[in-house]
Amino acid sequence: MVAAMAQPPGPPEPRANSPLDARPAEPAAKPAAAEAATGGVSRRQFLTHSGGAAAGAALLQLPNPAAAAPAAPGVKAPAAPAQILGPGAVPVTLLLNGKEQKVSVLPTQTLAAVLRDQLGLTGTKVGCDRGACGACTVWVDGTPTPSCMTLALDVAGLGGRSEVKPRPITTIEGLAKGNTLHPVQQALIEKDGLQCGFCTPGMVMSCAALYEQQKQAGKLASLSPEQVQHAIAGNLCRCGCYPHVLSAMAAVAQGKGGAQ
Amino acid sequence: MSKTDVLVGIVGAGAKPEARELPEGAPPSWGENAQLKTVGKAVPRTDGADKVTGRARYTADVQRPGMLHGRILRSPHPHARIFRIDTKEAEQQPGVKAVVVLPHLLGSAQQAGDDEKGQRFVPIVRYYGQPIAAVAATTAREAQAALAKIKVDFEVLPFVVDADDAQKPGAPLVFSKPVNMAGSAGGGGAGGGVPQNGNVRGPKKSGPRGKEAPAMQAAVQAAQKTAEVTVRGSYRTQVQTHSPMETHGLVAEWDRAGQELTVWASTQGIFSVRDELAEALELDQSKIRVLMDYCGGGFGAKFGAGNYGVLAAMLAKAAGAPVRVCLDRKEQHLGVGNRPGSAQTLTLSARKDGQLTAMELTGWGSGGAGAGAGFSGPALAMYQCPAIYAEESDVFTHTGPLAAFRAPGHPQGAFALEQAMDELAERVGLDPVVLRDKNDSHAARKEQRQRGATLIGWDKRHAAGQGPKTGPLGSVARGLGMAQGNWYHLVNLNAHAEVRIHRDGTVELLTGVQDIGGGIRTPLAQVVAEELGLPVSAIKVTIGDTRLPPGPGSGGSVTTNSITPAARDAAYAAKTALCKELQAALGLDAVPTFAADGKVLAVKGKTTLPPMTLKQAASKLRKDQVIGVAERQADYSGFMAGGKGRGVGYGQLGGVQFAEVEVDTLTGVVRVLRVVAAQDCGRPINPLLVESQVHGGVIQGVSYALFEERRIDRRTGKLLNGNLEQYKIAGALDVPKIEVVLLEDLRGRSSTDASGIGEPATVPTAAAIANAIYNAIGVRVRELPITPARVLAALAAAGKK
Repeated sequence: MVAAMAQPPGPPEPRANSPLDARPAEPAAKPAAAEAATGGVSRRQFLTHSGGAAAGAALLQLPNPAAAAPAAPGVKAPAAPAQILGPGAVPVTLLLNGKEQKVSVLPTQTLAAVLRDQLGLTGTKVGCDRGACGACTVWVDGTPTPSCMTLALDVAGLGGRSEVKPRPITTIEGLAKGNTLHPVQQALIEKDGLQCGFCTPGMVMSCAALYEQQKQAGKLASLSPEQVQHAIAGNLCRCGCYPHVLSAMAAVAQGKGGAQ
Repeated sequence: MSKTDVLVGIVGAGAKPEARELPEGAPPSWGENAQLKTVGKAVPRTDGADKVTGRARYTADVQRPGMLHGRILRSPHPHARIFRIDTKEAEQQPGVKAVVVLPHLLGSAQQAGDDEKGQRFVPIVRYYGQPIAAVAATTAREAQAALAKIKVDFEVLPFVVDADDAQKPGAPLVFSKPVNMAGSAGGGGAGGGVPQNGNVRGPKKSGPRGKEAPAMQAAVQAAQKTAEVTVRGSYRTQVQTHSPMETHGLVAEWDRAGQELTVWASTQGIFSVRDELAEALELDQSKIRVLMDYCGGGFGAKFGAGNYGVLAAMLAKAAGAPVRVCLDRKEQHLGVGNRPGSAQTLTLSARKDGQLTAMELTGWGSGGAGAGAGFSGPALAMYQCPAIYAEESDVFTHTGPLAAFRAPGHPQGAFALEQAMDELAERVGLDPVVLRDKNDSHAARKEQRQRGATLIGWDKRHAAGQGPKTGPLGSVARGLGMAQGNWYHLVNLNAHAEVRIHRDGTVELLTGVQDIGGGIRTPLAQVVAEELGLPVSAIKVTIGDTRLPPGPGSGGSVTTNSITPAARDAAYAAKTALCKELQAALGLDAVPTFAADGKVLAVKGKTTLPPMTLKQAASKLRKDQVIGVAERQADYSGFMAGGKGRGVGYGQLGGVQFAEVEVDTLTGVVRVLRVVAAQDCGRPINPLLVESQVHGGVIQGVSYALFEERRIDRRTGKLLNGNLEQYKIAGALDVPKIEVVLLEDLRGRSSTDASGIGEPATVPTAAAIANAIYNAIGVRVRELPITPARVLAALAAAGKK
């Protein structure tokens, strides 16, 4: 990453948290319709706003105060679309577990890194840091999302003159209501749907999302094992908890195990 | 010592009293689980809420004030000599607080003479990714960037990463002189005292326990000449990595004087972390404290501090600040262990009626820059066969060294042995279950074969390749197979426990064991609760700290076997102390007694006092608490074999698994539909948690059988799949329906009579699947993993495609 930074205009490397890994190219930007629907800042919007060349500069320049100045608070930013974010930390707002949370994030920082390292929310785990294991699963707009593959800026509200609102994020810490566990959490304890527990927060988030979705559709009682298997297909568990996760979800769908 | 009758045998299948020698002061022996209130019940794990809410703190979650982040410089070459390491420029990088060089390498085999005392760096690189140095900086990113500024003067040397190539004449040598490998590092290998030629160390020659190898070799040769039936086959198994969901990691923090060290480690053995750090840093054991609340899986690879741990401690000292070193996923695959690959040739000799007359196993295991042999366990110990002989060698390659991995050697060994037995059954015209009944007298396995066969519907099994084909193209064949495994009743005597009964009636258990996922807090609470007549929730269990009474490392399926008797005995001692104290405090003539319901019964003069609850009794204490301490005693009537602080109990653990598979003969894709796992673990303390571990063993077995393989590029020596998308482990959609049959197999060997389950549950799985595949398609696949390509190749070779 250091080498890439020193040689602009190299190809942008937006993800640089583990330079030991040669990362695959980022997937193509989402279609515009999807962007509109989600209402957040996608990488493509970000690039559009800042202009291709400027984006390259913003992403690739070595940090220095002058380059960071346009984004610094209190300095009047030029009119859109020339808002440049980074390369230094950007003050943003996250809508986290129902509360607004102000935090400064680097454009390269993943949501997982911000949650764990800056906000101390270590319930969200990082197992592979490249979206293959699901340990880092959180909800963004209620949808299970790998937080290690999500840039914090993509889900943050930019504040100030910007119209970009933060997208609601729910982490494992925000699932229980006070001391009352989510029915899925309770059922996982009762059926022992966990062993070492490291995949568990991600597993819980995937299972609870399925539960809520089914409940909202009034189809909780008809939840099938196949649906659960598909919902947790991206959550790897090395201890082999899957059978007991299935029994926990079966119990909770039938209104057994777990307070309703 | 006193002779006492205790219940021995499989409950529901002929358990009966048998005499055992119990140590003085041992608590009364428990009957079967049905007579107990808490032990033997499916109690949800007591720390489940911490795990489902994200509150459980793992090493990767530890944050210390002023903590720095360490990253490790690893060799880009699989084989090289290092002349010089210059860290000056790295030290000047932004955010960098310390740069250190690793002076000695842990985890690899050690060659005489190339690990000099006082050396400043490790002069030889023997695998791609070998750790060399490390940087601590304010952020992980700064540390990573600074690694590029460490200048290492390498002389790149020729290398070999393929175990077959390594055995060819003229292959580059991994070690040029004899090596030693600590047994603790990888679960054995060929061992010392054997020849080492080129990259091959061995063979180690062995016979079954108590039999001399040369005599066995002669007996095998004689029996082979007169054998009525001979079955001979060669088998290969791949290199598998542990891939725990939490990678290895350690946080190190020195006290202000720089004299004492506290570490948080993701480990299976807090005391082995302490001991390895003490040795590496030349520090007193008493000055190191190791802490761990939770560990995100280990499977054998997380003993000791590891190179990363030593580097973390060195960085922390140099920087004068806490340092966290947590490996990334690629590093986890690279340099902290694996299950060695193997090539085995097995020859079974038998009579026409299926009675085994001889077994000969030869082959090698390759654990990279470490010893890799050690797959003869099942062949040497599972069947009653008059002549058994094994020759195993280590083959060294320029790849990361092995580490112990869930039942070291045994899934490999069972893969060969159990397929050979399947083949023999067919040759002599016997059902595979019947053939095993004939040659295996192990009581638990006999029962497991019976119950498992019934449950899977073994009687509906077709002859190999003769079942109906289904699927839209009529290409999907189904098959049933079975295999069995063995493991040992291993005890670690470094198992101490302290039970405190406080004046307010609350109860604490303190013991320096650790939870790696088995959930040991819960069975510990259960045995103490049972002894004191309390609910599980009333027992506060504290583990995971070397300041506590020492506990065993969690490996070899020793944890429950070793520590629960100490916990029960400590509770018994605390209870006894409470009663004695009551006698004194209340001025009683006799010591009060403890009823089964946990009530204390006392008589004063001629008046029987109202039964007291533990809380009422404790309120009469004159001091603030009573304490009971205990340590694991040797097994009742002794061990079969012992060692320093260890014991091997009589008998062995069994385990029989039945698998049903579907093989698509057009695509070669195998799906495991069902597995029936019939297992024993002595007295199951908590059947729910045991079942979870059996699921885990089976699922890892499925994954080993069909998906996993560490791939190294032969041209560059580099790891190709150091991640979790190309290194494939079984996910939710790959998992069969698993039915667990759990025996209550009482052995009368300790106060809880528990044994282990983690390892036996994974030994037979891959073999059972391989046998089921043969049954489905009539063609045997003798190499792991059984990928679609291998299935198609086998079908093509047999002319069946």
